[in-house]
Amino acid sequence: MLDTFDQFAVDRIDRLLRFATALTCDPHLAQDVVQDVLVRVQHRWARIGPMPGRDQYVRRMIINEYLSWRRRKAARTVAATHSTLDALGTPTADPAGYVTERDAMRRNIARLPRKQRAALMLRFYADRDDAEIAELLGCSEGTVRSHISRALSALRATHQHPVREAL
Amino acid sequence: MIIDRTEQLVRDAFAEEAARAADPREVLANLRGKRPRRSYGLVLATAAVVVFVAAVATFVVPKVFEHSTVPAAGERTGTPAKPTSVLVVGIDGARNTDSILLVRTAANGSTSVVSLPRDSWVSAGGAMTRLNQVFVNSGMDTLVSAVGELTGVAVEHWAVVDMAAVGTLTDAVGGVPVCLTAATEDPYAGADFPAGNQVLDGDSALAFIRQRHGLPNGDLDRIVRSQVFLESLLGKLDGKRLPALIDSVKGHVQTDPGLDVLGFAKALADSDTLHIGTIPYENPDFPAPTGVMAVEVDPAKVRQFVADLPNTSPPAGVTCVN
Repeated sequence: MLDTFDQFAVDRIDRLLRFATALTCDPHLAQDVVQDVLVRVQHRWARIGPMPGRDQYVRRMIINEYLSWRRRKAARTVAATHSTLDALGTPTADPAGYVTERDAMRRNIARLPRKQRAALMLRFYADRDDAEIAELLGCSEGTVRSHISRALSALRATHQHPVREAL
Repeated sequence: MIIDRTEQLVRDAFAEEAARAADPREVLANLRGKRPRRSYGLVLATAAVVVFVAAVATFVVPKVFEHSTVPAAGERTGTPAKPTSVLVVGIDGARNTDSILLVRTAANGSTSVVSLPRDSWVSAGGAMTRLNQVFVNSGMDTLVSAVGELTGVAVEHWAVVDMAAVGTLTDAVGGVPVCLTAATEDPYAGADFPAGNQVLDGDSALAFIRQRHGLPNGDLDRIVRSQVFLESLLGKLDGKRLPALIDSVKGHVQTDPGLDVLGFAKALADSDTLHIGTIPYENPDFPAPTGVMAVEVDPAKVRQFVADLPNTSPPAGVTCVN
């Protein structure tokens, strides 16, 4: 029997919010994105409810909502400063502390270009393979590998920087 | 076995990030329509929206105190009204600072209300951050000094107002009359209004001041609505309803211990002009270095605006609005 939208939302809301929060690095934005997407799912429940891959579909809606929002904003933003470069020069206060390092990593992830961040999140948070990530992001597997490899290189460069400073 | 330290950090960082997710119960409640959505605007939460709720409470609450006959209150009504500045913060159920207002009473009998967009990119406690993160991360003292630094006004007092107060207050006064030029709806705000004269109850009042979609001028219309709503609500205040009013706001407002509520009330009650404005901003889609989108402001322009506001002409009375 087809479950109701409410049951669907109750079962998934926690995971969807965490997914969106990892994606956006912003709990408030994540909440808005998830709410907007679920309102649309609710309106189209008759069609989405019986879909075999509906969980994947809803996650894709969340990613698209976030990426298109950023795109709309970016289109109106002239000459944004490249904050990643500034970030590279910021040493962590306590290179020895793992928690400090992890929080620095969180901030550095938040500064990645959006598609790189989305690909990285799908790999290391959602544990998806290249093919699944390619489908969710609507790009080729080669592009996925390139996103992840660039993101990791940038993060390595960033978090090793304070260690060099310390030496 | 070789463990890639960066990858491990990335995994842990994402897990940590995900753990910051909003409370699922709040999102479910919003979806089920138990209350209007906290905020639909993804980036620019233009102040006067829900912010305004705080203004309503700021004005109404002191009036309630002033007219009440509590003995302790009577002893202090002799306090002369003197110019003061109060930071009024409107919070939602999760203690997010949805609206931030600076209310000043002047010696010439005018009151000015400056609203500060919650996503303003400001300096607080030595670092740059979004204004709505200051209270939740560093507390009221830091917020007070951040607003003081931004506006150039020495903020003397603060009050925290629960947004839910507006709905209950509206019901307590028996509804607030407004007039619309055209029928309008916005499923996101829970708004569905006919054209013409109508009386708002608590739920529709919240929808009325939150609606952004389906309006010809979007946020600008919303600001006008907020002002019309406040005027109309103030007009409904009536001594006979005071017990119900006091009941409705009880527990919705907290202030700093030093705020002379009655003195402030007297200044507000005596003020003959009300100036309301939102601070000027530069880029409303400013990509902040921390990766969030914020509203960029120029402190010099903000200070000029705040200093000039009490001398501007108040808007003419509006009858029907969009």
